[in-house]
Amino acid sequence: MRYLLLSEDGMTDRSTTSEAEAAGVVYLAGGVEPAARATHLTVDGARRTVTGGPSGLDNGAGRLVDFAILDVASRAEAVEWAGRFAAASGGRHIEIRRVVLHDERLSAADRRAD
Amino acid sequence: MTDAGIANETHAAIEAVWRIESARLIASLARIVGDVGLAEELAQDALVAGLEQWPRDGIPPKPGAWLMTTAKHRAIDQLRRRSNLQRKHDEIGRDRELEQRIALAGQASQDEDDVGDDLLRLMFTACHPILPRDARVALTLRLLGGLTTDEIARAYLVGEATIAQRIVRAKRTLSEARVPFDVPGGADLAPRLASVLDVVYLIFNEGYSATAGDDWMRPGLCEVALRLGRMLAVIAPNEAEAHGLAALMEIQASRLAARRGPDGEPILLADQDRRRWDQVLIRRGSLALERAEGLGGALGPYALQAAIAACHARARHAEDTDWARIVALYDALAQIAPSPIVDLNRAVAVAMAYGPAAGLEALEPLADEPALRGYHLLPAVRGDLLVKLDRPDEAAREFRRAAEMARNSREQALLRRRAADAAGSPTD
Repeated sequence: MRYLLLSEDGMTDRSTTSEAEAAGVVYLAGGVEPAARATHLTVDGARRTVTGGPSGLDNGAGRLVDFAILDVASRAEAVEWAGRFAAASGGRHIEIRRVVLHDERLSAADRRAD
Repeated sequence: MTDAGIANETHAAIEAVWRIESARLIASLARIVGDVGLAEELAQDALVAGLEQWPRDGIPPKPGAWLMTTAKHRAIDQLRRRSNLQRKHDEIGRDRELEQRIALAGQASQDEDDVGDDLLRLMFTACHPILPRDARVALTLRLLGGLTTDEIARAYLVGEATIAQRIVRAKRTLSEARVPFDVPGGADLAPRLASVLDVVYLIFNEGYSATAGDDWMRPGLCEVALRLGRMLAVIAPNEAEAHGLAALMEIQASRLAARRGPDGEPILLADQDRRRWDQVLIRRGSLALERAEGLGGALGPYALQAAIAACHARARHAEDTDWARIVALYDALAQIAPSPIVDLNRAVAVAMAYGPAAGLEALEPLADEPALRGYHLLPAVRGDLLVKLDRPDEAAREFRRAAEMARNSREQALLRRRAADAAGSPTD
């Protein structure tokens, strides 16, 4: 089962995830830029409006959001790893969400564990 | 939340801790007490203590350390009890020594490198050639994969008692043979490492061959093997073949979603919807393969198989496949790890790269190969090539032969239809 871990607390630099890497559960880890630098596309009928983006005005305000996608046996295991990431990075809050790919049918096993 | 809900949640959390910590716990204990079977018992005892205390007191902040401390106390208790009972002088002396080792081991806090070394020792011990292959597999899943006996039994479609007995016997064999808990050195290292990699890949293939309707633990074996393979690449970073095996499994796992149709029927590589291949796993596999090659391991059997898998992974469409390179890789593989199956695959690649006549020629020497007698894919491939060469009668004969050899009914039906198609094609 695949879970997405999200945190603004500097969760996924190498030293934080090394234990999980060694355990073979890290599928993908990285970061996305702060919400303040995000580009927004708004569609109204045929009209597209693009706002935001790195305008230079935001001075890099906001925090990078780190993410890690883990392949684990259960949600509880994802939570346990999140606890370890927080302990290693001094982070306080990590959000944990199940990842389901478009072509992935929920198997009996997945239903069982959630 | 209800009390039952909280209890369930705590139980799931403890299971998760066990999945993460058990291998390291058993590995560290085995180094201290020198016996894998005893180490596992102590670890289990510690888990039982956790199951009693944690639902009441909460899970400690460092559950791994808690389990370790508890297991060491158990070990010392057991030794004292035994000394008092038996009162054999030399044994008491030996137990004292062991007791001291346990006490000392508690003082130094372990760093990650030590843990990695212990895990590596545990892998080598669980995959020791003194054990039969199925025992190596069961022991590896149990000690390193953190699977329960019941989970292993379900994954292998056998009774739980069979697996339990296999594990007990394996632990006894290791203990009686006084197999040292260590990483082999010198000339022993290469064959022993090959045995470890072989076991991990066996587990992966067992999961890969699972079919729809099988117990969900079976495909789960792929995940377990991938975890073990990634772990090996981290704890044995200088072993090229460890990276080669990780690369091979990552790339094969990338196709897991694409290799079966809606009714669970297998889809051949050439017919798979390549948009469903997992590009993240392909990337991970390619990086692992680069690492294997960077360590001078390009010609290792797993690195070569990974390189062949990578050739397929790189091709956006089946017709973009670099078959000439695949032929060259099979040539190399046939030299270092000769097998009739490799020759058969090579012949298919030859046909794709240089035409069906060349492929047929490459198949020629395999006709009398005893290992392939009764193997339906040999006549099936020949039938395929004969169709392309516009020799329908011979093709139909080959497909009929293949159908007789095929073991499952779905394949038999498919091959008979191909025989009929081939025979009917000139008049249609």
